[in-house]
Amino acid sequence: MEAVIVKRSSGGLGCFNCANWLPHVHYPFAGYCTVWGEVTFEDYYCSKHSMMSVDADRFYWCASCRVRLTREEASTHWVQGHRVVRGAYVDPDVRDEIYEG
Amino acid sequence: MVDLSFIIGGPQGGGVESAGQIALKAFVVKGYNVLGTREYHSNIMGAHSYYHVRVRDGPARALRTPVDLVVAIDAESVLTHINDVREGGYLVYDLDSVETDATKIASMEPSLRSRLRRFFESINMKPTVGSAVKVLEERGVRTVGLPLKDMLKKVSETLGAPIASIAKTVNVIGLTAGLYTLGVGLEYIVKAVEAQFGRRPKILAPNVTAARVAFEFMEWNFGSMKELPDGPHRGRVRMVASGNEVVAMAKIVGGLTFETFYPITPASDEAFYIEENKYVELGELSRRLGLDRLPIVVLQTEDEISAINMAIGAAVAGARAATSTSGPGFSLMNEAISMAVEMEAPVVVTLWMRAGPSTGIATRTGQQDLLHAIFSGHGDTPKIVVASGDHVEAFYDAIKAFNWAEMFQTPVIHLLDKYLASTITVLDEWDLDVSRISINRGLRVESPPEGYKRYEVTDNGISPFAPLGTTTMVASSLEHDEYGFASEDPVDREAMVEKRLRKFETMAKSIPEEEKLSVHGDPDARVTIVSFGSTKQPIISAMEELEREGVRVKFLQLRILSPFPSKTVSEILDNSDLIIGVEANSMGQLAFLVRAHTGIEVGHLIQKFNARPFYDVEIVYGVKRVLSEGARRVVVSGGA
Repeated sequence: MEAVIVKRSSGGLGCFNCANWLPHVHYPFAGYCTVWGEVTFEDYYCSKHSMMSVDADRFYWCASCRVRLTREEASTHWVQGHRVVRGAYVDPDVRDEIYEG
Repeated sequence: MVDLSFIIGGPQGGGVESAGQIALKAFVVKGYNVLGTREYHSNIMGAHSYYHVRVRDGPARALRTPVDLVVAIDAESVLTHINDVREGGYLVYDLDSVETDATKIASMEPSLRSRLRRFFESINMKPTVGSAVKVLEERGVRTVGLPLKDMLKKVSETLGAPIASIAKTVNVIGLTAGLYTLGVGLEYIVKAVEAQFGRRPKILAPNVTAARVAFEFMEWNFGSMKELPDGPHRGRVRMVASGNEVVAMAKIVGGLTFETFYPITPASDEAFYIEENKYVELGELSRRLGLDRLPIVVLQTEDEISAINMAIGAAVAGARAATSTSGPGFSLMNEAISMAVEMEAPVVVTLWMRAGPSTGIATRTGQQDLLHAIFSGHGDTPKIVVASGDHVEAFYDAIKAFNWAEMFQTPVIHLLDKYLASTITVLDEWDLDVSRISINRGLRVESPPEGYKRYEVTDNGISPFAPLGTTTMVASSLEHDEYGFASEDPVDREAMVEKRLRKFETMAKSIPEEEKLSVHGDPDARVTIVSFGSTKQPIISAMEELEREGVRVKFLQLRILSPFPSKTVSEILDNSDLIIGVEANSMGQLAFLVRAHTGIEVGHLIQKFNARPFYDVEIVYGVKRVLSEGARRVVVSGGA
């Protein structure tokens, strides 16, 4: 089977700036690829790479501030150099680790 | 002598809880006594949380700082605990985080960010992780930078499969590196990981691999580990349990049949544990009922008012009933507490104190509800309030609370706190020995005679108790006659008030003095520490240290706060030259009670109200300040 995910970024492209990639909510160097359905690392790359942008009218996630954003808010964070993505990846076992407040 | 302390810090939800528990288990497998507690933020997810652990070959009674090791799974943990690691200790951190600036960490408390900025400005450095590492190295701390991302990649490659649970794997990498610095071998870490995740093979394999990758990294970079010798309990089967769990176990073996709760920190875990273990063997009854097991009813109600009212209803119907809450929930229960006194309902309220007032700091500890518990409910509301000092006391007190509630037909408030709730310790089988305590259901009438008087006036104030439904009777919030029928007649009123007061006197006389209070240390010492609740073990630990330095102190631990053991307390305090109160509140609530009941002034107070638990070293410091300077009030502030 042909390898589809290259384990290093290519020409400034990688999971870190891919619109299909959701960085981990706490450890954003790893994340979930919505195309391949796998956890990959920020410096991986594949031919399905799609450059992240803030244009569609939807919710976004700022990995720098750990907060969900509207498109307008996302644009502001994006301009300020924050790491804005389409969402965050939450561990399937996160329930084991948190307590009610 | 082995005496180690360490902290594992990271984002809440990021694996800190599992890491802490694995660390505790590794040391238990190795044969040591352990004590560990989690400090977590009330924002549910993302803010800084940490696990604080003490390991000893002797009793592990209290936490302390500075610690021997800080494992910082994220940047915030390095900066938050910059002052918590001792000279010669270790910091394990993520190499990729060195550029992270405190001012850019969104989850960090703004006040801490400001303090860090001011500190780094004062030494002409940027407030980054890299600067913190440098500062710590200059202080003689040994630092271990881990390439966490690369190590996680290696785990993934070794497994030949992607890792779904990143948080749980990153934590094990950091923890393993930290435990290496303390001399805990891979064998023990793997055993602890297996104990933690053994029932979940999908999580177990990545974590065992993570431990191996981290250990190999440490050996490659730092050579063979200097192994910590095995502790005195190596090879023994022991139990590791939190305060929540111990109380839940006690309720189950103590005959609980009905528990209500509305979710609230730090009480909920107790009800969850009962829910998970709610089936009780019926023994001889099984044949009669055609059932082997019967579940305890655990009910999550719509609010705390409903929780206590349902528990009261169950109690007057003959069930061993309890509800569990913390300060804000207890506030809502006040009216019903009053009703329970009026109804003479044998209900137990387990009150896990936390840092108020109001919501306050919802997930942190405090001893601020002592007076609230004692004076809860309007009208004259005599009741029993018992405060447990540690896990073992909490176990027996939880069972006794049911006995007292039914013997005296009154609400019993079992006072505990968040520190005990979330502190995990190691226990032996004999620590929780059910045969040491019997179940006493009081003066019960299963088949009430004709003309039965539910509130019959008796010499000791206690009327025979028939469960609601066994005959015609009335139980309500209204003042009543001996049958329970509402009455505003002045003679009936006076008789019932006097009856309830006599019952209070009966409680005071019937509960043995040794169950009301304990004196620890040298009984002839002229300096007496007075305290209650979870300060017990930190105080005893501090006394051990003070004794080594030639300071003789005794400790009067008050366990029954209502009815207050005035006579014995007076006798003990009258024989003291110096009285020092230790309390996790700002108002000196126990000192107030002592003064009210005995007229004796607690002249000196060591207090902590930053919502973190007392450390033994803080009590040592406080006692020394009182002895050397005559300080009236020493406020200690440890903890991040």
